[in-house]
Amino acid sequence: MPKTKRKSKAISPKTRWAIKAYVTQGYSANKIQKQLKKQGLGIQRKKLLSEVRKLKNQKPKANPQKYTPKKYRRRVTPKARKPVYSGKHIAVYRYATTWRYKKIAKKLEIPKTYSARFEFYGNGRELAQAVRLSLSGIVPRWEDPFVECHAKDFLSDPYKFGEKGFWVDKPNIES
Amino acid sequence: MINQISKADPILGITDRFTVKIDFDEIDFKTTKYWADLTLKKFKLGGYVMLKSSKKCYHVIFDSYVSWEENLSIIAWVSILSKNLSLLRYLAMQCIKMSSTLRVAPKGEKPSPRIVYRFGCQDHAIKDFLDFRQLIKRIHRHGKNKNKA
Repeated sequence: MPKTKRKSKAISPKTRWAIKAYVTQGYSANKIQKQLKKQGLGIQRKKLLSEVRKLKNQKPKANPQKYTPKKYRRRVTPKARKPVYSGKHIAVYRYATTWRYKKIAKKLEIPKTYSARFEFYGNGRELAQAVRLSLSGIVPRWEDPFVECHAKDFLSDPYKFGEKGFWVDKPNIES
Repeated sequence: MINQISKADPILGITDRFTVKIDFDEIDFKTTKYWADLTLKKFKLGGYVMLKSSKKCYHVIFDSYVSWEENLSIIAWVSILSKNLSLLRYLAMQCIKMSSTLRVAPKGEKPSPRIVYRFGCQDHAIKDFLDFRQLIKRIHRHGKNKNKA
């Protein structure tokens, strides 16, 4: 069942007037609360104490959380974690080739491989996933062989940055 | 001209602009340590960690964060003075990419780079680098296991 927020009741003018009267008479907070209860004007003790302090021109209690038992302390929702990046990138590099490039290379009579490189940045999990994806056989396109991108962007659409192909060893050129 | 193509896993590395990372190739441990010490003293970089990536190949990571311009000037200073051609090539590659990268995962038969020497403070850039390296290694191990399954 979802928790509903408790509505905070404002102190009625009648109660406020009664409190003011009791404070001027020099009543203690306990006594005031008893008197109010008798008259059917009972209010929450926390509100009564803050009202009394206001009337006595006292400073609000410093660090009230300190005196509240842990189980009654207001729960603070943990802040959303900000992604932390060191300025470092993971470089995934080697020679690469694709079927499309092989055809072009054959036509133009140029080497069948090209030097390719991905540079990923992001948090650890995204980096790990991006590297694994690139290891599985996605290589940068030969038109844009040096790709620097956020690992998250690469994971969301890997074919925007590369295409299916192979990472290959340094070509042995025999003439 | 024949291209022999064989499938392989891609290499995983760490890329950023503000950590001073130097890739020494074809150089022995003592010379790498000498250049790392000299750079540390000259640019006041706090401390460094040396990783062996393969035979006669070392990576050096310094502890202080610097701007990209300063980063490039430090790598350029080392590469010019050490007369290391492969380091000059590395510098040129980083200039093209506008960020510097070091390998973390294995590459072919080469294992992932392992720490061989530490010196000075390790609390800032080195700590972040090693933490991120751990994450990449975990991702790589996990990805490999999944592929096997």
